[in-house]
Formats: sequence, structure tokens, C-alpha cells
Amino acid sequence: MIRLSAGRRHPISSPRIAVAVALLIVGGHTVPATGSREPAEPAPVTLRLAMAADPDSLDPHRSSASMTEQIMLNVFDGLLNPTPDGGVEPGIAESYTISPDGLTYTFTLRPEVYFHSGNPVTTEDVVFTINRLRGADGGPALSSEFDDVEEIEAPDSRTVVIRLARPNSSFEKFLYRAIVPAGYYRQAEKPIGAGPYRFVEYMPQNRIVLERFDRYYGETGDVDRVIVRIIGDREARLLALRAGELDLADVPTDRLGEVEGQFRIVTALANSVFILGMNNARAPFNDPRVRQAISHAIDREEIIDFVFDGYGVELGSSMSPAMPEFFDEGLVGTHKPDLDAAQQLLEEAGYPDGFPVELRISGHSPIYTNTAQVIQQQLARVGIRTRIQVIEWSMWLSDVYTNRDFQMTLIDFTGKLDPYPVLRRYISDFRRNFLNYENEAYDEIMERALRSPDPETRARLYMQAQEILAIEVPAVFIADYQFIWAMDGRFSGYTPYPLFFHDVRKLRYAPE
Amino acid sequence: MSSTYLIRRLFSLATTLAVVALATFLAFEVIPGDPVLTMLGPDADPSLVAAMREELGTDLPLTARLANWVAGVLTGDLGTSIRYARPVGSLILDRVAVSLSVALLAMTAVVLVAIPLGIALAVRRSHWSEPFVATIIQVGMAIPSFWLGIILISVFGLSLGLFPTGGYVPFGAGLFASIRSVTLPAIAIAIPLIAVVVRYTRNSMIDQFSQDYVRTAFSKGFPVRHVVYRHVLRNAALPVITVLGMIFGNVVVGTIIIEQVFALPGLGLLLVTAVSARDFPLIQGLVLYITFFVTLFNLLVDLAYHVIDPRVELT
Repeated sequence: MIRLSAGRRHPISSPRIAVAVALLIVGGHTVPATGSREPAEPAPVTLRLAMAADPDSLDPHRSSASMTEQIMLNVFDGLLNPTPDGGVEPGIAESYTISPDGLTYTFTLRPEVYFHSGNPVTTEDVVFTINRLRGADGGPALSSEFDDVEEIEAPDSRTVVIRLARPNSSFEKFLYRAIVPAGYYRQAEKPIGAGPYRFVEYMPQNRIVLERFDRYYGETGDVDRVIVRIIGDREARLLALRAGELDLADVPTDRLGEVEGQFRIVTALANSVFILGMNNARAPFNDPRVRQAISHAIDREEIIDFVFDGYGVELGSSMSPAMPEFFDEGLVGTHKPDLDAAQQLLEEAGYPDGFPVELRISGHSPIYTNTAQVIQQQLARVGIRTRIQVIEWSMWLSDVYTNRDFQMTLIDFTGKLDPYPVLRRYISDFRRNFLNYENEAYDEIMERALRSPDPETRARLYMQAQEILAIEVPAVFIADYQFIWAMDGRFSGYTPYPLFFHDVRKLRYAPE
Repeated sequence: MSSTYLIRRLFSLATTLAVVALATFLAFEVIPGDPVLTMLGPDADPSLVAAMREELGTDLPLTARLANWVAGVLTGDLGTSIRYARPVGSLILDRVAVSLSVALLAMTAVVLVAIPLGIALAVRRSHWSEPFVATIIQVGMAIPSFWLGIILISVFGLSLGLFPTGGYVPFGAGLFASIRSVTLPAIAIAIPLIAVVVRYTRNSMIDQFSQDYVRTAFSKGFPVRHVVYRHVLRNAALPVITVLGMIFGNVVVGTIIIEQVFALPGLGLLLVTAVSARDFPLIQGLVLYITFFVTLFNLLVDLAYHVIDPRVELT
């Protein structure tokens, strides 16, 4: 589904965009940027893009920020690689099989795959990578995703066999994790991968430079060099973009008018779940009727209009339509805006006159402060008196997210390739179940889904789990907003993924 | 100047550093926030969090961490930044180049523009232009530098395309490009400072003009130029130098807002990031560095007094 944008605003009004992950809205005009450029000789093509913060780590196994992945996925390849529709496809492994019991994964490595160091990727590197991640190389485990791995071996020079202790239906999606050279521990300083772009340099708070890797096994695009400018200030990013110093940058919806004629506008669902979280262990939120009342009092569309200028879709549960295989459109609107229903539920719960509540949010993004104000107004309509407390991000992470000291909060959870980590947040004993939601039926369904080798059973179970969340409202699932990128008209072919990834090799360049 | 004076001053410098370092350490004991969680965010894998905590020793008790840090500093090792996984010393050194070039450029502009202007305004006071100049100076002092920065970017970066809108080009990538990248920030910093220094110079000069020795000098028949430059300026210079020293001390340790507006990777931006990331080794290192510089500049200003006016005794 491709839509051509001519108008100024582009709200997605219908939730019927299940297939819309790969959806690309491309602005028609291509006016040259004002920056000076050399004449169109076959000069190397440089893509200059902006990033809002430093990478958390250049070591792919020590990074968990989606912002880092956005760039560094270009440097690394996994056994499998992510696809735009949320699946995985063969990468360093040219083929693989999973045994019917879901316990044995057998990979055949692609021949002639090289690391940026020039060394070929061998089974030894693959075994090393998996062992490093699961903490079997003498160091500590770096990822719990590989906890279920029982053993890994390389029976011949092109085959790797991973055996799991128990079936794990998410495991396949974890295999896009970077394969790194065996015995090389300086990834954080100078990352070496087998991806289409090799790392050149990184200057903190200044820039990251990548160059095309000519020995990449797959197709590489037109971009020879990538310069990632790290610009924390939104205003400064926008100015740099308008001055022609950047070819690709994010644009806040309210500033879209300033760049629309000059750049290609690319929008795509972020695959995130933006929630109004409630502390389910504390009164009055331990009563599901109160949570449902709040869900009825919240007008999601109004939030999308006010905060995202219409660039977002309503959610009904903890899943974005960017995950078409697992998204249940029927759950959207489980609790429609209905003040009478909200009032009645509050009366039944024993709060006919509402109650005072504190909404603790992080101040690091305007989406939280803006949404908080809309919610304050909406809840006031049913007598819930909201006091907004804005705290620092790292304080939010320790006080709200870790110590669970809050009544209500707002948080946008970024998407994953697999539904399990998205829905796991509501499992009773999950460490990060900061909303203190407890439901045995839910826990049981999730466990079955994780252990089920059959994709259809699994999808059905995840749907059931979402239904419970939609009805029980551990949090009000508000929206998934859209990324909005402005891209220089000379570049085309931007391909959105359901995770943060600027896939540079898919970009095409046409000088004017 | 006695050597005991210098020894005493250096000792007090060391004490100041120790007190500030301890205060910073304790402050971040009280302020909530965890460096590992903040860096890895809400999706942090529990295994990775545990592995990093172990490595960084953030779970150690306060006294152990303090002892480790002090032992490191005494051997010249400021530790490793948590956020950037690089030695704190080299991170700071990289930024010194940025902040220092901005500071030097800005201070050159301040000295070259403000001091002659201040002298001229003092010598020709009651000139018809005085109210206008006074207004301009008032406006110059009142302008917030971040606003000035945005205006400069819009005009010289966006509209005219003479300068980049932000970012920093290191010396290695070309001296001219490097200076170009810090010109607008230097101007944004310099303009309000010029206004301040002009006022200081002018007032200080005028103050001296009303002194008896000036009248005596004039009555002895010395030419104006001689009186102004040999006598008045020398006496008027003391407060101006104090202000210049303080300003330079402030600018050289980084200008947080200007660096933010111009996406300039200087010391100020690094400090803000270090604080919000709860990168304790980096915060400690930066605070130590900044305290050292500010205290050192105060010392240099005091020494300059003595050089300019030998009657000022350093005791």
C-alpha cells in the first residue's frame, strides 16, 4: 500500500492498515537542497544523516538502544537478517532448517562471506558469537535471549547446529544478532562485522562515518559513504537539514511545513506501543473497573491529533499494526470514548466523584509532556484530578521503571521483530513488569505461545493474550505513531522496517 | 612575590579540588539514577545489565568506589567513561580542543572590540552618540546567547550559507574549515560579553578620570594620549582584567547552551550528557577539570594584578 502525499497533513484515519508496515508515503517534489555540491561526476555518493544521541555502544552485543541499531545494523549481518515485513531471511546462513520438535536449528553458511577485516566468516566465528552472547566463552552472558541454548557445534566447515534445551518460538527472530569475528573483543572501539558497510570512525557527540564494504556478499546500493551527524537538539537538526547539510533527518510533525517542498517525506509506522501505564498493585488501579473507566475516558484520537498531528494509529492492545501477523484490528475500540460508561464504572468501583492522581512522566521527549496535558483534561471530565510530575529520564528509569514507585505514567515502548518481547511486559513475574499486572491465565497463554513450535497455534495464542490485555487494561494502549523522515530528493528507495533501521544499501541515488 | 605565597595558593587549589570532588561524589549518591539503566534504556537485557554492573563496579559500596577513584586520580588515571567506554582523560582532551578554540576566538573578539571601544567611549563621553551607544550596549547585554545563536544560524548559516549551521570540524580536517565551524558560536558568545566588557572598561576609565592624579598630570601639560595610555589605562585595567579572567575561565570550560544550539561537541555538552547519563567517572573528571581551570584562572588574575600594579602585594 503506497500513498502519494500532496497535502500537508497525512493522518492515517483508518486502522485498516494491517499490511502497512512496508507502507511508504513519498512526497512528490524533489527540489535540490541549497548546499553546495561538486558537479555530477562519478564522485562518491555520500549520505549525510542525523542521529539524536550517541550510540549506547558500538559493540553490537552490548547495545540495546534502538537508535544505535538504526545505524549499526548496516555494519553487521546475522545468521539471519530482518525483512521489512517483520520476518527474517537468510543472511550469513544461506539456508537453515528447524527440526519438527523445535529443538534443533541447522544452518548452512554462505560461502565467500567476509568480515571487514578481510577474514572469511567461518563456523568458528558463529560458534564464538553465540557463546559470547550466552556467556559460554568465559565471560558473563550478554543476552538472555540465548539462555535456552543447550549446545552449539560445527560438524563441518559450513554447518552450524544449535540445540535448545526447550522449544523457543522467538529464537529464530533473535538470530539477526550480529556475527562477530572469533576472539575479537574490541568491538566497542572499532566494530568489525560482515555487513554491507564498514565502520570508519566515531567521534562522540560529533559523527560516525561508514563506508561501503566492497566484498559484501549481497547487493549494495548507490551510497558509498555514510556520515552520521550526532545532533541532540531538535532545532539544530532541523536547521542543518534546511541548510542542505543533511540528506536524511527526522522532522517533528508540527514543523513538516518547513521542509515539505524541499525534501521527500517518508513516513512509516514506528511499531511502538505508546501507553498510559497504571500501577496495578496500587489502589484505585487494582480494581479493573477503574482502569476500564480510564480507558473509556481517554480519547485516543484526540491525543493522536493533538500530539502527533494525526500521524499515528489507535491501538486496542499491546501490539502495533506494523506486526500484521499478530495484530488484531478488532481490539481497537474495545473501550470507545464514553464518559457515561466511564462514570458508571467509577461509581461501581466506589469512586463516584473520581479521585486525585499523580502522573509521573519523563521530560526527555515532548510526546510525554504534551500527552500528559491532553490526558489531564480528558480525565478531568470524569472527576479524576491529575497532577503531572515531570522527572528526568534516568530518574524515571530508576524510580518508576525499576522501583515501580508511581501511580500513572506514560511510556512509548519501541517495537521488536517478535511479539513475545512485546507482550512479555505483562507477565506476572517478568522483571520488567513495572505495571505490576498479575493474571495467571495470561502467564499461561504466553508460556504456551513461547514453547509452541507451530506458527499458527502461536499466532492464535498471542491474539488471545492481547484480548486479555484489551479487556483488563493493565495500561491504556494509546497509539503507535509514525516516523517522519525528510530525505533529499536525489535519494529514493527508503525502506521502513518494524524496527529502527536505516537500511542504507536499499537507497538509490540519482544526481540531478 | 614570595614563594610561600605560591605554595599557599597551590595548596588551597588542591584543597578546593578535593572538596569539590567529594561534594560531587556525595551529590550523585543522593540523586537517583543508574548509569547502566540509563544507557541501555527500557529494553535492556537483564543479562547485559548484570554483566555491565559487575564490570563497572557500580554495585560496590561508596567508600570502595571513592577509594578506587582517588587512587586512580593520584596515578593520573581518571578512569573510564561508562557512556562512551573510553578513558575519561582522552574524552576531556578531545573536547578541550573544541572549547578552547571557541573560547580563544571569542576572547580575541572581546578584547579587540570591547577594550578600544570602552576607552573611546570614556574619552569622548558626553559625545552626542552616547545615548545610542549606551542603548546598544544594554541590548547587547540583555540578549540571551542561545537566541543570538539561532539568529546567527538562520542568517549566516541558512540564508547566506556562509557558515555551517552546526557541528565541529577538527583541526586535522583543515584549519580553515575548523575555524569556520567555530566562528558563529564564538560570535554568539562574544557579543553579550563585548557589551559587558565595554561597560566595564568605560566605567573604570571614567572612574579614574575623576582622580586627582589625572588632574595633576593634565596640569603638568602631558598630552591627552600620554595621560590616557600611561596613567589612566594602567589603573583602569585592574577591574577589567578581573572580569576578563573570570569570563575566560567560564568560556574555556564549555558553554552548555551555545554548544547545544550549534551541536558543538565541547566540554559543556559533554558535562550535560555525563550528568543525564549518570556517567560518574566522566562527571568526576569533568568537575575536577573545570574546578582546576577556574581556580587556576583566579590565581593567574591575581598574579596579573601584581604585574600591572607592583603595589598590589600578594600575601
